[in-house]
Amino acid sequence: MDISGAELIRAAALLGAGMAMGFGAIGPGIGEGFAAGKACEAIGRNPDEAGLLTRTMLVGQAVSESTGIYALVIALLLIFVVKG
Amino acid sequence: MDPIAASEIVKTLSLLGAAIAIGFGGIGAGIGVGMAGGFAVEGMGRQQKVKSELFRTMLIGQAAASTPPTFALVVSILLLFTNVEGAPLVQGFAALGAGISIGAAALASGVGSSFPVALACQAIARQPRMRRPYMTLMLLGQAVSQTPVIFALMISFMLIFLPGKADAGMVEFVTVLSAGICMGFGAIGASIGSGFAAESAIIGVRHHREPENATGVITRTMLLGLAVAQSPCVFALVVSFILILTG
Repeated sequence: MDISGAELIRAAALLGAGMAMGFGAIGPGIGEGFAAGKACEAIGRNPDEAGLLTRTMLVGQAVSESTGIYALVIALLLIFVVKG
Repeated sequence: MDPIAASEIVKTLSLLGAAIAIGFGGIGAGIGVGMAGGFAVEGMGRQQKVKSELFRTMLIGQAAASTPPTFALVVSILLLFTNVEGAPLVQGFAALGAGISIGAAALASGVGSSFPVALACQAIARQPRMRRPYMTLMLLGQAVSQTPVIFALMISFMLIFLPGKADAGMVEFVTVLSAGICMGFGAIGASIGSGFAAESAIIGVRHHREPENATGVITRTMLLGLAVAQSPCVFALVVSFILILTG
């Protein structure tokens, strides 16, 4: 089987896309779950501030989400933009 | 020496995929279910009155936490017995991708969905009257923690059952493998994160000054947080779909 240089580049780009999104999703997933859990704990200790705590949780999760979105952007770039 | 036939390579890769699926898929639940059992025993030692309650909670939770390795077992058996007669080479790489996808996802989901069981056992030992809300939170958290593994199962089935092109080249081989890696590893974070969230929700109810009235607001917050925590896994699912369907 002959492999051209263009095919090799395309294959590497697609493997890279899978790895970027796969590994990139680990961090935000754990981090956002952690934030959600700590918000629940804090509401348990201080129920009167439930609104503030939920808002803060969402802001923290949104920031944590950004690395996941970076991974998504890079994965989509590798799939659709990089041509061999 | 006879040259190696394409179907033999497909068989080899399928067997490797089967081993990865159940080998890695079993790790998480093995650790997690044992941990849950440990917390249940600790709780029984503390509160002997509630030992039947704790035993029931532990068993229900452990049964639910054992679902991910069961999915891995199903994929593993499918890969062991699929017919490779005349199969194109790409099917072997798809089988390997399917094994990686369900193996990694089941590993994480087994750990993640065991956290709430451990904490529910601990909490029921301290506040036996609250056993129903704790059990509900535990099951809810486990259900959400197992969503990623269901996505991974879906991708595994697609990789196993979608027919591969006979003239597939290197790009197609890498694409199916990449789809499996993407979904498998993408599921790890969301599963473990959801487990943390459900665990802390139980702690939150326990520390509330009126635990009976706390479950509503804490369940709402937990579900909101869990929904956001699933998003990276959904991105991984989307990228896997794109890789499988367009690659």
